[in-house]
Amino acid sequence: MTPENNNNGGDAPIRSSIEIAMSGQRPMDNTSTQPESTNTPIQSALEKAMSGERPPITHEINDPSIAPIQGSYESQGLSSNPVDLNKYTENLKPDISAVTQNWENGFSNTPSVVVAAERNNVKTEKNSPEKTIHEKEMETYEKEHNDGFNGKHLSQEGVKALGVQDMIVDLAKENKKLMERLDKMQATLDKLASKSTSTTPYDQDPALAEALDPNKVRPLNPLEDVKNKTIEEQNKKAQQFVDQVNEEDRLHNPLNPNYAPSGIETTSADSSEAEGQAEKNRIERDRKKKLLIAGVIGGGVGLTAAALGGAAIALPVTITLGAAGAIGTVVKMVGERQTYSLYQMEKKATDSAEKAKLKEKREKWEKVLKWTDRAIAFIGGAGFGYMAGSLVSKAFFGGHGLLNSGPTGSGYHPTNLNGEPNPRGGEGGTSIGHQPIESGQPFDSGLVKDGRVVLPGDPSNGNLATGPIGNLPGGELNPNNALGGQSDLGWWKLNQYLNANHIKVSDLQAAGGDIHRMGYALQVDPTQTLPDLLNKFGGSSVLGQNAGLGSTGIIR
Amino acid sequence: MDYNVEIENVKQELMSLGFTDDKLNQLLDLAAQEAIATAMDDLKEADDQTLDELEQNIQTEPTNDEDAVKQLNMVFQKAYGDNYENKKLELMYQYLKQTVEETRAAKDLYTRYQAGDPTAVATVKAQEGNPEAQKIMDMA
Repeated sequence: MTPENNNNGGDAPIRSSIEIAMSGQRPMDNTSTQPESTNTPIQSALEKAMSGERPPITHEINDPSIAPIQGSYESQGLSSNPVDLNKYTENLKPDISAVTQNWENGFSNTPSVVVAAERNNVKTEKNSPEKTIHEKEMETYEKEHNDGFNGKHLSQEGVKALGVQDMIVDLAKENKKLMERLDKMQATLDKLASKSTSTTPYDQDPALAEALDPNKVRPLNPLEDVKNKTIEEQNKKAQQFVDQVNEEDRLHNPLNPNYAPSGIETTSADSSEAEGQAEKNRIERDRKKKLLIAGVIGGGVGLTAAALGGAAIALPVTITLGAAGAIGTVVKMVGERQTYSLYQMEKKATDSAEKAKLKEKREKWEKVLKWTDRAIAFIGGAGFGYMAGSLVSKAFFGGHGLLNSGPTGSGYHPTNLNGEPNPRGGEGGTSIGHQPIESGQPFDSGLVKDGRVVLPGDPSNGNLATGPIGNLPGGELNPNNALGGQSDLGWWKLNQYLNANHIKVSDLQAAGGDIHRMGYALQVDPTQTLPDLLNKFGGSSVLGQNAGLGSTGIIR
Repeated sequence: MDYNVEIENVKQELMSLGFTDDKLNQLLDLAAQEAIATAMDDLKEADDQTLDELEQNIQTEPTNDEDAVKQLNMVFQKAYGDNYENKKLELMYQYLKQTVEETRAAKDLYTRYQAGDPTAVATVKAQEGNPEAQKIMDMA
């Protein structure tokens, strides 16, 4: 029975011994002498055994762990056709354990039969002509090592060996894949290598390379050269400035450890007697000035320096010296002024004719100096002492002293440039404001009468102008010190200005001065001076018309 | 710059700082002397002819104030030329202005000293024992 002509209607390609058995035919019960002939390519072992073709197969199992196969099976059929076992798979059905169990339980004594089934995808050499070398090698290997092996009696080691063989095969396949990948990578590498060798080499520009050379010594840029020189000069000037500041500090800062107190007599031994005396006189004047300042500081309540005297003046003098040293006023007057000595020039001269000429010049100068001292002494009557302004009034202001032309009238309180009230007081009550001027008669501008503004036709006519009567801080700058507040102080102050400068209201009006606006401006800003007001609101010419004040009139 | 106006302003500042009439007169005299001394110093640079003229014109001693003032004016004129009047006032102004600054600094220092300002105290202490202070006090 062949698969092609299976009359039993079964799907199996061969008629197995099971089918035979199930059909009720038993080999031993077969009445025929010849078992049913089948046309299957192979005969089952049972058929062969039944046909007596070959002696029963004996199993020799050396592995004790494997139970010996019970019974023997022979193919009962006879076939002279060669069979390619590779095309079929053989299995025992039922398996040995089932047969044994059936046997022991008395269910059945049917032995197992070998069932051969044709493989579906068996490849032959003819069907796969394009075998790779590797596959051929594998087949050769298998043939050599599996020759005569039917796989039916595998020992444990055999199983292991087969497993190892399978592993070898798998590894060989894996190795093959890896080799293929390696071949591809090598090909890629070769390709890349060929490309790299074909790249055009970089042609470096020598000029560019030189320009970019970080170690190149660059020639100085002209602008950079100028810049460097400028910086150098600036540094030099800055250093000079620092040196000068340090020198100033040394000369005038008492806290400087190298401090050289100011005012120390610096008369040079190389100066002539007249020159030395002139320098001594200068130092003497400076001391007198400091004494005056010390008297102002210590005599805030009106005491003179002389009245303070002794220890009482010690602190103010010390403070004055410290302040003078701190601001360097002595340097301004003496140090900055490089008094050059004719005597020293004369001594330094090497040429005798030059020396004689310088000596003659020095003697002439000393004569002038001597006569000048006499003139000063004659005017003041006390040499270089205090002359109470007589020298100033006569030699500098044409006989009209600066102070003697002060304002008149009670209540006069001069202010400084900042409009601050003059805190002067005491001192024997000889302040300018309380001292009658030369004429002895107070000047009346005509602006204020009986404490009221006299400006007919002006809106301010009749306003209060009594001046400060209170003692609140701020004096005349504080409107609360006046009865009429700001208006009162403004008009009162303008009247003080006019009286002090001997200016009549009528004269100021004739000169174009806007008196109303002047008074109002002083109400707003009492620190304004008379020149400011005249410049702003007209009437400046009245100052020049006031001949009685000399070259320097009192202007507030 | 109108030195007449400026001097007047400075004078008022001095008054506000506490200079009385007497002190102001003394200060003005010192300023005048300083101005004359400065002119004399500047005459050191004058040529021989200028000094000769001066020598001839001031040989006689002044017999009255007018002669004395005339001689002093001549000194200024030879030193500063025709603009000597303005120069006189300029020198006066500079001296007075400097005095204002010095007085303000002294007042400020005194105020800070009284308030216990360490710097001010140190500055004042540094002047203690200064022989110059004694010389100034001896003039009082």
